[in-house]
Amino acid sequence: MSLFTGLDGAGGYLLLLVVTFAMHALLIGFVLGAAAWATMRAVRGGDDVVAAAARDWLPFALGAAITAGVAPLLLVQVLYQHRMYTATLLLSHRFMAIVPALIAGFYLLYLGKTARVAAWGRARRAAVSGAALAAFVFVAWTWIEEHTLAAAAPEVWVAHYRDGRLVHGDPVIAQRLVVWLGLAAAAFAVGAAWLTRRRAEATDLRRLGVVGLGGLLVAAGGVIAIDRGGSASVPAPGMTWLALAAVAHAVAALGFAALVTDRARLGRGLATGGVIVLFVAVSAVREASRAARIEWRSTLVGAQGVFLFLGFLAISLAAIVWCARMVRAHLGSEPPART
Amino acid sequence: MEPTAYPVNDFGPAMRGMVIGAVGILHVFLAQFAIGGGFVMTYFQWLAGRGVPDARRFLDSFFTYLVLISFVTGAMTGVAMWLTTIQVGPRTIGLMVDEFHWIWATEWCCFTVEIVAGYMFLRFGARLPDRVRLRLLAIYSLASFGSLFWVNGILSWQLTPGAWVGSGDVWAGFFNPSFWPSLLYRTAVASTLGALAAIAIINAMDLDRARKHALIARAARLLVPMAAMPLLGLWFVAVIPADSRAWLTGGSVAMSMFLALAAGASLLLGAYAVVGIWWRRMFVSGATAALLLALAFGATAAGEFVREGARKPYTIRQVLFSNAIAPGEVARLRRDGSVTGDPYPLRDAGRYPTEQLALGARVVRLQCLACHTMKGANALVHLGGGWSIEQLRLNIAKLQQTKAFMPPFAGPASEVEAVAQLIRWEASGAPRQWPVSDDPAVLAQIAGWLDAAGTSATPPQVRKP
Repeated sequence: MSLFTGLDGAGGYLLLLVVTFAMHALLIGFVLGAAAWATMRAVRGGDDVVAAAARDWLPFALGAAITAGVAPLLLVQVLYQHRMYTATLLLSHRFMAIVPALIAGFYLLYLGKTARVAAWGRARRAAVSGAALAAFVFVAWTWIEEHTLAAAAPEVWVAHYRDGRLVHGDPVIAQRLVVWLGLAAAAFAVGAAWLTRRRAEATDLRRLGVVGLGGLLVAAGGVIAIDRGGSASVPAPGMTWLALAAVAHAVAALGFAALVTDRARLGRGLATGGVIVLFVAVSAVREASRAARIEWRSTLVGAQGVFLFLGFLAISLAAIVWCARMVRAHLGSEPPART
Repeated sequence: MEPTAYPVNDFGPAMRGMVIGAVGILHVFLAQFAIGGGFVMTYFQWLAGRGVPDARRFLDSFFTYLVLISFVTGAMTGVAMWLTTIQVGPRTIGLMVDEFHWIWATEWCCFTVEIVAGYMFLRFGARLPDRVRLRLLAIYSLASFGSLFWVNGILSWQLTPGAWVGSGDVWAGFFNPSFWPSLLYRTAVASTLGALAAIAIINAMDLDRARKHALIARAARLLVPMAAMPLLGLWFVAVIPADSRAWLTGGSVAMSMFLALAAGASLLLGAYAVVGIWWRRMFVSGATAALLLALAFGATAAGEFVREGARKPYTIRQVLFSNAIAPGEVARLRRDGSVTGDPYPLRDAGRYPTEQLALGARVVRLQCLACHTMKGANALVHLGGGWSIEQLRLNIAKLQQTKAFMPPFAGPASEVEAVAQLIRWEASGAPRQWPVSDDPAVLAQIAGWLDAAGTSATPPQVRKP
């Protein structure tokens, strides 16, 4: 816990960054996993309730992920401004390509929900969701690349600029991407297990359990690869979170195992709790490593407006809850229709 | 050593202002459409609750467009604005984030509510009663207007930071002199865009002409705020600094023309709404509505150009010049050199036959590329290539007097001479051989001009009655 109290009293920013980033990563993880599932389903032909739910919820999930992502984007600028801006400038229009990639991916998700696309053949349906998936993987890779370049030594920046490079090559980028893609599979498995809880059959849940377990395995493999590459030194404030991540990983694995062995209720509960804590803990480890390696700005403590933000945060949460309750009260328990 | 300078990217023949302008205009148009769309939706839902025919049918059609355009491209161009601003002016956006990050975080709360309420309406709206639909849309509208409210304070602060400059008080900067006229003007624009888009979409609906006409007449009511736009525009012009006002009213022909374009396009739209839609009760076809929307886009583009241009020679008035150099830094850079602390080498260093020309290129990269290119848009070669070397030296050294919307040159005499030689060399076709100019008498003369010009911006002579 010292991660948020030991850094010149400005840990509040870091706490918000960790929480909002974890929320963003969970949502975008669901998007990646759902797009991958929809693509594989289209390749294999036919349909299933999980693929249908994935296609149905993907546009909302992406919208929510992008909205949630704006918060950490702001906080990174507050905490690591010079480094974040420098990396963004160095990657230049290659970095800016994430915007059209996201727009294209977003529209493809809407297209994938239409009756017209549903009537298409396997190849064309797979192309739609596969292209969206490729766009999101590109965005994920680019953000990791940006994160890595921002943490690099200034000499690396100068060489990067001098050579006019648009790509920052570092083995840890691929390793980090593997970790996040593994976690994405786990986030998707949990999300899909909830979205299909009234319609899914035991086979569907077993598959989701396997996907979740596979994702956790891949994520662990990615962490081992980073450790072997010598880039995994976690500073003292991050060790508590690393331990928590390990515990959450184990709990999530138990939950997915329960799904595989047809204990749906227990499996969903354990996997959900484990995955949420895992995302928060991994985000905290990530920030602890970054805050220890590079300078960060504590000069903004006391900036005006924090109480306005906290007030509006409370009002916004209340408004969202009120909307949800209002809608729920009028819809009752009927299953949601496709939009 | 930790570099403090930022790397500078070259956008080829496009100057940086064009890059941010293109993204900004598109985003502002879409964002204001989203806000105005919320007004339209809430109004039509209220009508639907009162039993107005086809109102609910229109809503379901309109909202699909709103989501597909505003939630996707509108939201993404918002992210693009942030990232593009980093590309073209990292120091400017950095200062804005430093000062207003909690305001931005508050705006994010509003945006989140807007997205959640919007998606709930999209997903469940068809199965909800009118009362609940109205509440959802009212929350959507309120949240989207809240988003505009908070961002407007930050954007208007750039031109009129008000008492913040002296006190550093965020609220003095937020509720700055141009806050209210700017907010009300943007609200009127949003309502107009929402109404015009609604009219275009009503035309695409499968209804007979009479029923379409009835809906169009309802939608046209949201054009009413347009009547206030000329007054709001005058209010805005009245509260901006005198020198900025001078650019708009003849001091800069380009800005005056864009202001005239924005005002003219708005006037045409308003005249059509009053005479055509209300008075003559004319039917507005889809093609006409599309044309009116295009006109509104033109007015938005011209208005944004004027808003951006009126800040010159600053990007944040009295705090950062257009090239992101602070007024207080000019004297130090004159003494130490502007590129001494810049660790980033030239990517095309081998192109320059002398060290002096390479120095000139680094100075141009730091001080000029925010608004100029060497040979593309607003090119230095086109502006100064025909001047004599003496003219070049004088005009660069006394830059803020050469043109009052230019910032002062922030470097020593040797850098002025390096830039002058570079422009001459480029204008001569970049020959392989070029003499070094290091005559002490010339440098002394330039230093005298720099001293005479001073380190401050020069306000233009504003004619007084």
